Amino acid sequence: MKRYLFKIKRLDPERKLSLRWEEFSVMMEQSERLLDGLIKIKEFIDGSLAFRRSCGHGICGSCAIKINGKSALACQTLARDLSGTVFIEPLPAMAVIKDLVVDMEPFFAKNEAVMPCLINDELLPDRERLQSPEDQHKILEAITCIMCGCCTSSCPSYWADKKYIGPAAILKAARFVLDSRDRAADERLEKIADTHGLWRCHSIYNCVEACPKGIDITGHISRLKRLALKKG
Amino acid sequence: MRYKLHTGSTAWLIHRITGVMLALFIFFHFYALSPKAPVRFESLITAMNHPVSSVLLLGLVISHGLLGLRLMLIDMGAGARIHKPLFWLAALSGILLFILGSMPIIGGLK
Repeated sequence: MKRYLFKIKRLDPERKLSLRWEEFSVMMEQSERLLDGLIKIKEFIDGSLAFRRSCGHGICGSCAIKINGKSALACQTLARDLSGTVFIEPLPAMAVIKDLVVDMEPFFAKNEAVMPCLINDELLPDRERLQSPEDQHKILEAITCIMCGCCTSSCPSYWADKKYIGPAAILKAARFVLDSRDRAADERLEKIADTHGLWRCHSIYNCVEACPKGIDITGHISRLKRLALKKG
Repeated sequence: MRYKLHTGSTAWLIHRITGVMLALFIFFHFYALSPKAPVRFESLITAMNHPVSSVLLLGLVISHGLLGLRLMLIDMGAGARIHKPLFWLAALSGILLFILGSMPIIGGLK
C-alpha cells in the first residue's frame, strides 16, 4: 500500500463553488487503478466528488479525464505507473458540468454528423453481407474506438476551433469509408471535407498519444485525406 | 491551458513558430527592398548580412524545411507509423546541416 496525493480540479455550479484545486490523500495498492482511488475518495472522504465510470476495464469510455496533463482513462491508469502526486482535471476543452463530469453532447453530435451506420441499398443477400478477412482487417483498428473522447479533447485544432469535427468523428467516417460493405464513401468524404473538417488536421499526433486503445488515428485521417483528393 | 508535450506536438509547434517567423521575414524582406521603404539600402544590406541574422535565418529555414519533409512523408502515408523516428532524423540532420552551414558564416568574421 502506498499513499498518493490526488490534486483534483473541482467545480460545482449548483452550490456556487467556483473552480479550485482540492487535495485528497489516498492509500492504494500498486495493482489498483486511478479510478479505484477516485471511488475511495467518493466513498470515504467526500461523497460530493463527481466523475463518470461504468465498466471499469477500458471498454465503455466513460472515465476519460485529464491525468497529469494528458487525456486518459482513469480505469486504465495503474497506481504503479504514478508518482506520489497526481493531477486530475476534467477533459480539456469540454464544458464542465461538475468536477470531472463534462458535456459530451457536442462530441456525440459530431459523430452523428458523419452518418455512423452502414449504408448499402443493394439487394439484401440470403444471410449476411459477406466480407473477406482481408477486407475486415482494413477496418479492424477503426472499429476498436470506444468513443471515450480522449482524442478530440487532446487536439489543439479542436481547442482553437470548437466546430472542428475532431479525430474521433473522422475515424468513425474512416471506419465506414474503408468498409467494403458500405456504399456511401463519396457522401461521407464530402461531408467531412469542409471548413471545419478533415483539413483542419495538422498531424499533431496528440490524439494517437491519448488514445487508450492505441489506434493510429492520424494515420486513418491521412488515408482519408488522400482518398478525398483522389475523388476531387 | 497546460497539456503534456509529445514528439508530434513539439514538431508541430516548432514548425508553426518557424513558419510564422519566416512568413514575417519574407514580408519585411520584400517591403524593405521596395522603393516605398524609408530605410537606407546600405544599412539594410549590412543588417541582413550580419552573421547573427544570417545564422538565425539558416536555423529557421533548416528546421522548417526538414520538419516539412517529415510532414510530407506523413501525408503520403509512408511516414504515418514512424513519425517519431522521422522527427529525430530531422532534428539530427538539422543540427548537422546547421553547424555545417554556420561555419562559413561565422568563419567570414575576420
